[in-house]
Amino acid sequence: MRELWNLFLGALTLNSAAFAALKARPDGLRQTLSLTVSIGLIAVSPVLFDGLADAARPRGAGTAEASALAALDELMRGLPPDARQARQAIRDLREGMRLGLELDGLEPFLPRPVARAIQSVGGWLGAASGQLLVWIAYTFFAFQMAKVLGGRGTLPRMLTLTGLSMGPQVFGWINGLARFSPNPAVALCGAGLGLALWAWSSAIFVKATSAEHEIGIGRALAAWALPGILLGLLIALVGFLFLLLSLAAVAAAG
Amino acid sequence: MDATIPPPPMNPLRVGWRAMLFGEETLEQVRQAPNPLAAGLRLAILFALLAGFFRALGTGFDVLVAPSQDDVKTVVLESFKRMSWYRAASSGPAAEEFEAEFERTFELWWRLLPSLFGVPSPGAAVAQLVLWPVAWLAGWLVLSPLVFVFARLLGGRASLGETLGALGLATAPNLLHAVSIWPGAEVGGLVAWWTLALSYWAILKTHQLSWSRGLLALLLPRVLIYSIVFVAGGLLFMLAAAMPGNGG
Repeated sequence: MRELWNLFLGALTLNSAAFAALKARPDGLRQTLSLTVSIGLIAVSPVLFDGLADAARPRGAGTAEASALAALDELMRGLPPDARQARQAIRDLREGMRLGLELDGLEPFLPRPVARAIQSVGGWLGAASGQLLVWIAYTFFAFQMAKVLGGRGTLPRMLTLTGLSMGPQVFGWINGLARFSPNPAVALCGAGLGLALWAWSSAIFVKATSAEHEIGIGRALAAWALPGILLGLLIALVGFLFLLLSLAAVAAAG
Repeated sequence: MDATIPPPPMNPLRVGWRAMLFGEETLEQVRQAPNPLAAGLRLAILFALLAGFFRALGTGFDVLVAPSQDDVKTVVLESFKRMSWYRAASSGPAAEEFEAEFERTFELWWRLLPSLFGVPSPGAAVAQLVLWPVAWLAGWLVLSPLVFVFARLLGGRASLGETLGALGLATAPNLLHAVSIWPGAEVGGLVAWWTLALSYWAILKTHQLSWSRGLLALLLPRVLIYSIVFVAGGLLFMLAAAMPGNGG
């Protein structure tokens, strides 16, 4: 256990020997997985706290949704009598919001606070599984890129090493909690911390890729960055095509 | 059977756990089994059935934390009736006819939509228990032989039995559906990605392919299936449009 702890600390400080030691362990992936699951659960714990707080909160009047409904009513009263279309659009928007509120207000089979608390634990587990998904999916893509760039590693060992990049996220809960602060300065500090943790995790990912594939840091950096860049370009391309098709449809209709 | 290979562990859950950790020994045990196809099929069926059972149980527990279907239905229908387009349509000369037709259509869609969106109900739980494993296995049975064909075309060396055995083992992440027993916990994406990563590794190992050929062997069957579905869908749409009475 102590040896593992030292390996973990070594990885957090980008110590090459720690990566090499973990790479050589036959049970490396099991250890990394335990670490990744534990850290994932801690990192997304604000989801649980927020859900539990929400479970204890009374519903109905006084909530943000009810205030928004009242604001829409106010807006409608302020409209001139001849603004029929605007009035109709606001009325439909209001009905949509009211539907959400009414559905939210329906009583579940179990007492509401208990049901909400159970669901928030489920949301927490789901969010932690999302962290694992991102780790596996991104490692899969980065593995292909590393191979294109001349890497010699294997996927299981790469997963073993890149899992360590979850390490800094052990502080992710601070960032998560800061988001709920009404004070903008605290929220800004939280965002700054989130950025720093992301940079730290990314550095570990790059180091892990370099250690597993026996390639330089430059190529490992490219293997880490290219999947993100390509995905971004793909999304932009699909968005652009969608925009073009929409414009063509509008032009054809006009 | 190779004398150096230890006998397969009896507990399929342990096999699944070891497979999820990319255990080479476990993969070798399946490959070296007297009938790797049967071994893989047995594992794929077992993992799919367990996943279906976990998901059904999860849907059953979801019922406890969700409002009743009838209450939701009433609220949604009432909300529709308050919308401006509904009020406009129901104030004309054919109001009664419109209202009756609307309620009939709503009733029809309501039977279908909650199940499609996984809204908890006893019926949805039964669907998860029966339909989910059947759908998963059907997909696996279509995809796996195609992966074999592409792997062989790309220079792979394994037999059909070895390929299906390895790909059956790669469905082990289905066991993660145990988490979805808890209401609100969803792990479908994780299962899909873990299965993909395991399948890729299993194909590389079994067929002794390079990383790029292994990737192609895994992706090309999917591209082929999606293309066939897309083209068939397009043809069906065109046929439907050309039918008399539909403008054709």
